Amino acid sequence: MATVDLKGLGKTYQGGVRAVEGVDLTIADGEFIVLVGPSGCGKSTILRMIAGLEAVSEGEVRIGGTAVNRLEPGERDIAMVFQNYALYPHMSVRANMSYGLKNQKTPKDEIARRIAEAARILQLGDYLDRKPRQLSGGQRQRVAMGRAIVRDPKAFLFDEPLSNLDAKLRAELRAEIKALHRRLRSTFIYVTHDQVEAMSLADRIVLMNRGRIEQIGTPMELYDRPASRFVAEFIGTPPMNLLPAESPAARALAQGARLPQGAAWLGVRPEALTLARAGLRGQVGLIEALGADMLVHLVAEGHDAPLILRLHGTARLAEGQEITVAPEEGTLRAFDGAGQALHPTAEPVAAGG
Amino acid sequence: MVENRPVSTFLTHAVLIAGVVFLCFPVWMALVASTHGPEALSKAPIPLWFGDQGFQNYRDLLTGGLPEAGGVPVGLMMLNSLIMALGITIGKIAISLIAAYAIVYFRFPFRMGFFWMIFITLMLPVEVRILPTFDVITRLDMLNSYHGLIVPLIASATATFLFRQFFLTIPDELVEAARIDGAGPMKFFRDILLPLSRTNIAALFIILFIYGWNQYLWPLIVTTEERLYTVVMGIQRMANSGEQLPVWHYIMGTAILALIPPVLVVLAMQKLFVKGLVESEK
Ligand SMILES: Nc1ncnc2c1ncn2[C@@H]1O[C@H](COP(=O)(O)OP(=O)(O)OP(=O)(O)O)[C@@H](O)[C@H]1O
Ligand SMILES: [Mg+2]
Repeated sequence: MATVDLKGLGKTYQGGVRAVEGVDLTIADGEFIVLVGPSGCGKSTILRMIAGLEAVSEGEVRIGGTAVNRLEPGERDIAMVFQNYALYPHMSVRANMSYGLKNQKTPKDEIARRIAEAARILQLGDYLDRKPRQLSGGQRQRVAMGRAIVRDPKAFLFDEPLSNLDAKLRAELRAEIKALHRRLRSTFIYVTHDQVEAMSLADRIVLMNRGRIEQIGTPMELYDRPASRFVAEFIGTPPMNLLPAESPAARALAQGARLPQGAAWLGVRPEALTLARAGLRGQVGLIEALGADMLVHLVAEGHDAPLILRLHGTARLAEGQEITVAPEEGTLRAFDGAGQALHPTAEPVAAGG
Repeated sequence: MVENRPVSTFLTHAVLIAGVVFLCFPVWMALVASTHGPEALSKAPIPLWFGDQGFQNYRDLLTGGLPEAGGVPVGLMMLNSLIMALGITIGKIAISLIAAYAIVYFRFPFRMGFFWMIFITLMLPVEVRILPTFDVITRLDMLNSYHGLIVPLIASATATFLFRQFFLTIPDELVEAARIDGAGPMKFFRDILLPLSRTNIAALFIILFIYGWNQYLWPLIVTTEERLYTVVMGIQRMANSGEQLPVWHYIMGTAILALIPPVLVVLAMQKLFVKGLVESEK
C-alpha cells in the first residue's frame, strides 16, 4: 500500500514516437485509478513505466514517496496482471504464485500461508496443482491475480486484464476485482479501453488522449461535466449528442437561453432529452428497444445526423411520428471551437428561463 | 485417415511392411552374419539364419584386441565414441543455448553482427575448414586427446539458430512477468527458459548425438594412437585390412554394437520429447 506520483512523465520511443507527454498524476494510498482512452493513447506505456518495464524518458515516478526511476521492476514492490495472463506454462498454479516470493527469499511456511489465503479469496483451492494449460481463461486470469496478491505489493497494476474473456466472464471478474480492492484496500492502477469497466471500477478515471491527460475525475464528474468534446464523446454509450451551436436545432433546444461566449457546440446526453410541449421538433426514425429503456433516433429539422434519445421502455412511439423534445433543467453543455468545455467545473449552462 | 475401406487399409499396410522389410533387411543380415564363423560368410549361399558362433564373436570383440582393428577391443572404441559423442552433444547444446540467450535477450553493440557471423558459419562444416582447424589443434597441442576430438566440433550455428527462433516465440509478457517477480538474468534462464526449451533440447540431443557418434574424418585426422580410436574408425579399419580377407563376422558384430547407443539415446529422448510435446502450451 502506497501512494504513486507521476511528475511530468514523458516517453519517447526509439524512432521518435512521442507516446506520453507531461503526465502529472497523484494517486492516493488505496485508490482505484483507471486509465482509459482510445487505442494507442499511451495507457500501457504509463503503466509499464510505473512497473519499470519501460525506461522513463522524462519526469519521475514515485512509489510511496521514493523515486523509483532507476529501480528494476523486481525492486519496486509492485505486481502486474497482464492481458494474456503471462503465467509460467511449465509451473503448477502453486509454483506460479510462489515464484516471486521465492525470489524474495520469503520463508516456506509464510509462502504456504499466503498461497492458501489467496487461493481462498479467489477460489483457486482445487486448481493449485494444475498447470496453466489445464485451466480456462477466467481461471488463468484468477491465478495471475493470485500471483499478484501473494506478493502483498505496494501497488497492483492491471493492463486490460479482462480483454481476452467473454462478456459474461468479464462482468463476473470485474465484480471480483472490485471486491478484491475493497478487501485489500491497496492502490490499484488499471488500464482499459472499455469505458464500462472504467466507470464501474474507478474511484477516479484518468482519460487519456494522444499521450496527454484529457481529464481526471470521478466517473460521475467525467460523465456529467466533461472537460472537452473528446471526453463527452468517449464516455457514455450512446455518446453525448453534439450540435453546432448556431444551428436552428441547437437554438430550439436551448429555447432562448443565452449560450456562453464563444460556444461552438452544444451537447446533451441521450437520457437528458424528454418529450415536452415546446422545444425541438423532429420525426422518430429508428427505435432500438433495449428492454428497460429504448434508444430513439430523432431526425430533427436543420440537423443532419439523428439525435439519440434514451426513453423509458414503456414509451409509446412509432416510427415516423412527430415529437417535440427538450433537455431537462441544467443538462446542456457547451464547448468552444477547440473542443474545450466552456464551464469545465462551474455551473452548467442554464436551460430554459 | 478419412478413408477406411479394407482395400486401402490392405494397400497401405502392404506398402508400409515392404518399407520396413527393405530397411531392416541389412540390419538383419548384419545380425545374422555376426553369429557365424569366418568361413560361412565367404562362400555362397550366405546364411539367412543365426549361426552358433555369436556368443564367442561378441566376447572376442568386446574384450580381445583384434589385430585387424589395431589391437584395441571394441569395448574401448565404443567408450571413446561415447565420450566424443556426448562431449559434442552436450557442448553444442550448452554453447548454443547460451549464445541464443545472449542474442535474443541482451542489447549489446553489434548484436546482429554477431548473429550473422554465427549464421554464416553454417556454411563452414568441419570438412571445409579441416586444414586450418587441424593447424590450430596442433599448435594448441591437442592432438591425440579427447578434447582434441571434441572441441573443434562443439560450436553449432544450427542449434544456436534453432534456439534463437524458439526464444523469439516466447511472449514478451512472460519475460516481463518474470522481471516483476524479481528474476534476474540467471534465474530467468534457469527457471524459465531452460524448462521451456526441454522439448527442443531433447530433439537436438538425438540429432547431435548421432552426428557426433558418426564422426569419421575428424577423429581419423587428430588421433594416431590406437587407444583413442572410435568405433566408426574401427569398422573402417577392419574392412580395409590390407591383403587379408575382411573378417566379416567381426565387422558385422561391430556394426551391430555401434548401433546400440544411438538407439538407446533415441528411445530415452523420445519419452522426454513426446512428453514435452504433449505438455507444451496450446
Ligand atoms: N516499443 C515501442 N516502440 C515504438 N513505439 C511504441 C512502442 N510501444 C508502443 N509504441 C507506440 O506508443 C503509443 C502508445 O502505445 P501504448 O501501447 O501505450 O497504447 P495503449 O494506450 O496501451 O493502446 P491499446 O489500448 O491499444 O493497448 C502508440 O502509438 C504505439 O504505437
Ligand atoms: Mg495497451
